[in-house]
Amino acid sequence: MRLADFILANVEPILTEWEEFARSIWPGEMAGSRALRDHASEMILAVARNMQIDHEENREEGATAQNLDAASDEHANHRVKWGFNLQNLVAEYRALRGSVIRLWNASGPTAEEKDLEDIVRFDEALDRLLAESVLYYVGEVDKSREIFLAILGHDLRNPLNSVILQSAILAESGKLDPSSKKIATNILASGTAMGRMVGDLLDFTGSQVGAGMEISPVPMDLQELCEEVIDEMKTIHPERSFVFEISGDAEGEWDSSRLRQLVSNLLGNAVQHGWPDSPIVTSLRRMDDSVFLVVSNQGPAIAPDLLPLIFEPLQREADVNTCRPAGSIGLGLYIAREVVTAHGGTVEVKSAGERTTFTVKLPRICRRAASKK
Amino acid sequence: MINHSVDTHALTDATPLRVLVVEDGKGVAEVMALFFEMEGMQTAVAFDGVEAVETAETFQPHLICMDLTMPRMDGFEAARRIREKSSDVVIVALCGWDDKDSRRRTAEAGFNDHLAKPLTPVALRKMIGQFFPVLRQDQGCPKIAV
Repeated sequence: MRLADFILANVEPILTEWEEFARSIWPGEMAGSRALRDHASEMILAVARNMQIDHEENREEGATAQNLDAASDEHANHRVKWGFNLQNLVAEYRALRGSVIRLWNASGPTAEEKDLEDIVRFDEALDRLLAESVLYYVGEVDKSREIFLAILGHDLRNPLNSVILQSAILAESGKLDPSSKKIATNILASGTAMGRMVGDLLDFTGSQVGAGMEISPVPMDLQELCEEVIDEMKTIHPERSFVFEISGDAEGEWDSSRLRQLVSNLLGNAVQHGWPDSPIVTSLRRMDDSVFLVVSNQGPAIAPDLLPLIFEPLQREADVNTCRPAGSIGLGLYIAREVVTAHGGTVEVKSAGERTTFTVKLPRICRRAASKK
Repeated sequence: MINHSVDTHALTDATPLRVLVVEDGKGVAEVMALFFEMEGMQTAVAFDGVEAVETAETFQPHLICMDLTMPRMDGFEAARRIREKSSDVVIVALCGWDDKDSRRRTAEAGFNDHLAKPLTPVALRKMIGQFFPVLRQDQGCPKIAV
């Protein structure tokens, strides 16, 4: 019997083997036969019919291919819900391929019936099923991960709101003894760092699916914003020294909350990596139609081969030698660069001797006013 | 955000700023109210949109800081209803999201401003300073002693 005919005549034995294999890799609580066999029958039938079609002439090819895709999409969808990982999903198709060929060989096909063309078409049909399933599976996993992160990020902000406000009230209070005040300040610093990470994480997941960051430029004063962020940093890190220098006005049209994120991330980075007893210097300089924002700290120099990686996301290993302190997930500089790029600006880093300097150049009037994800 | 002229003529030393905090998280609402009280203001608290509309009528706040996602009635609807009866009151959205679409939606619903959580004392004081500059400069709005 030729392979396609064999499959159509032996659906049940093939399904029995499929079910046994699915049972052997099933994650979590065991499901019934229907779930184990999920869409296997439709997929096997679609494969066999696809093999029988004369590709040159038969107009049903498109419909049969659609049947293949629909069945494999549905199958992947159900497997995701049952907790299959990608390895399990691929293993299931591999087992199906093995079962069919083994059962067919055991049925004793003649040499004439063992047509190489049939086997190639069987493989092609299965590859198509697998590719479609994997594509669908990955899409579903990505979607659920984004939803999970977005909900997590959003819902974390309520308790964070309480932590930050209450610790800030305590840290500002004149009624606490020095130790209690220090504890309140530490809680505030940790809460603020967590808030920054949540924001960065949400932006990162957003930028994974879109084309860049969305901004809403309005007339604003960057000097005022820098002073506010530095004031906040002074409250959070009273033991650190912050210097602010300005030359010329720093007014322009930018997205205020994004620039706050930029300044906050650059200063947060300087606090993390600068020597504790050295000042963190922020300067603003107007030059023609641009404003330069420079944040500089003293500390261990970044190795030259790591500098190009510093703005890449999740680069935690890039500074393994400096023992990155708690409060970073390796997204701060990446988000900073995204903010600058969205405004049509540039950001550069130089690290030599014991000084690391980030230089941001922003056009005073943002040229990407209608940037959209 | 809509440009909204705020009537501050009634604010004097004898009548401190009245702030209505609307938040379904009881803890967050109480902390916010505590902050405003420490800043020298009178506060009232509501835990959902329906309570917010009712309290706004009796308490007559100058400023409402309101969450968006709440049981019974959300912040958007509550803002619309409060705005129908009081065009002067400053309504500020407290939101977990800070993206352009969220800001557009709050502006369209009649909010004067949109503050993204987590909030900081600096952000809250800046907002108050923007909407109530007279009060900020010389009237009953003392800063917490540092």
